[in-house]
Amino acid sequence: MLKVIVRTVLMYILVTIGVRLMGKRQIGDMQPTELVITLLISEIAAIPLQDTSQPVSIGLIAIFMLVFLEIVASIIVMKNLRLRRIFSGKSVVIIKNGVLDQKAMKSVRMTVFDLIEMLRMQGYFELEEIESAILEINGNLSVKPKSSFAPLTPKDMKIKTEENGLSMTVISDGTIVDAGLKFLNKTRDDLKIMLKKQNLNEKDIFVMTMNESGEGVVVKKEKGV
Amino acid sequence: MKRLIAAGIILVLIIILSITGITIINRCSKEVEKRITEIHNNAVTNKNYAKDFVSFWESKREILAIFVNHEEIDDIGRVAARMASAEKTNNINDMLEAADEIVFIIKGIKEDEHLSWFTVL
Repeated sequence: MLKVIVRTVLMYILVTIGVRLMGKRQIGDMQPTELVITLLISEIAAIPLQDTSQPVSIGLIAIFMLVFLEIVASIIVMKNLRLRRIFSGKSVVIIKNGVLDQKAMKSVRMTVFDLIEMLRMQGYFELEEIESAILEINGNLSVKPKSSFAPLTPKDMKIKTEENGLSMTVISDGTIVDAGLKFLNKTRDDLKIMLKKQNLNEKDIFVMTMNESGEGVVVKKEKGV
Repeated sequence: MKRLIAAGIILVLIIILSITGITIINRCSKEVEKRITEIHNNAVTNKNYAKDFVSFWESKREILAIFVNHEEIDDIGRVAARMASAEKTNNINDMLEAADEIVFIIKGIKEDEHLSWFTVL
């Protein structure tokens, strides 16, 4: 029994390292090759856990060989467009200039119901609202609405706006997030001065975000939580 | 570049681990075959070779367990114990039969590590 616990911890650490080496992607954003590798890794990792007579090294070699292949494939795919098509496939235009491409839909085995559902998920409930829709390699649908249905922007209204830059979390649950401060080119001292001005202590803050202009939002910790 | 370095390190580690495994299995297999030949050659004179083999196998179990299926290691251990028992009771035929069985199992383990159509497919 104890060896199962140790093996599980070991495999957990190794698989986590392997997946991290592959790069950050959510399951929904995975390319076909990444999905295949992830499924294979989960299967292989389970073998030494279920069958304790199997040495862990067999699973280890297989998992890291898959990670190696995935990294190499991703590098090759980045450099060579033709190989990218072979490994990852290509995006398919489903709606062009407001017209449904039925041949393209057939080629990706997409039904009208699938398309309507995907459009609804993007916030479009009528086909006539769409100018272009592209089925991406990862299976997501990118939609460009017709200009008459596009959301109104400050530019349309000729309103001048200022860019505030990216907002980062600088305090999370009472702890200063150095990576966020570094991104904003600020130091802990800068942050402490700002907090002092507002009569705040970092320990009392649940979350604090800040943008490059130094503006942000502070949410204090609730008492008793 | 960072990912390429990571891939290179992974490949080197995989190769090192694989070569280490194959080398350990081959060395162990050679030693087993040598010891079994000694048992065959000295079966009649009975010089505790089988008993020595059991202690030898016990010393190799842990390192082999990293690369070889534990059931196969246990199989050899079990047959070796049977061989030692046959040696003790002067049952030469049983002892030699067990010795041949050990060679058969260890050859199977060794062949499993060889790259061939049979092992790959």
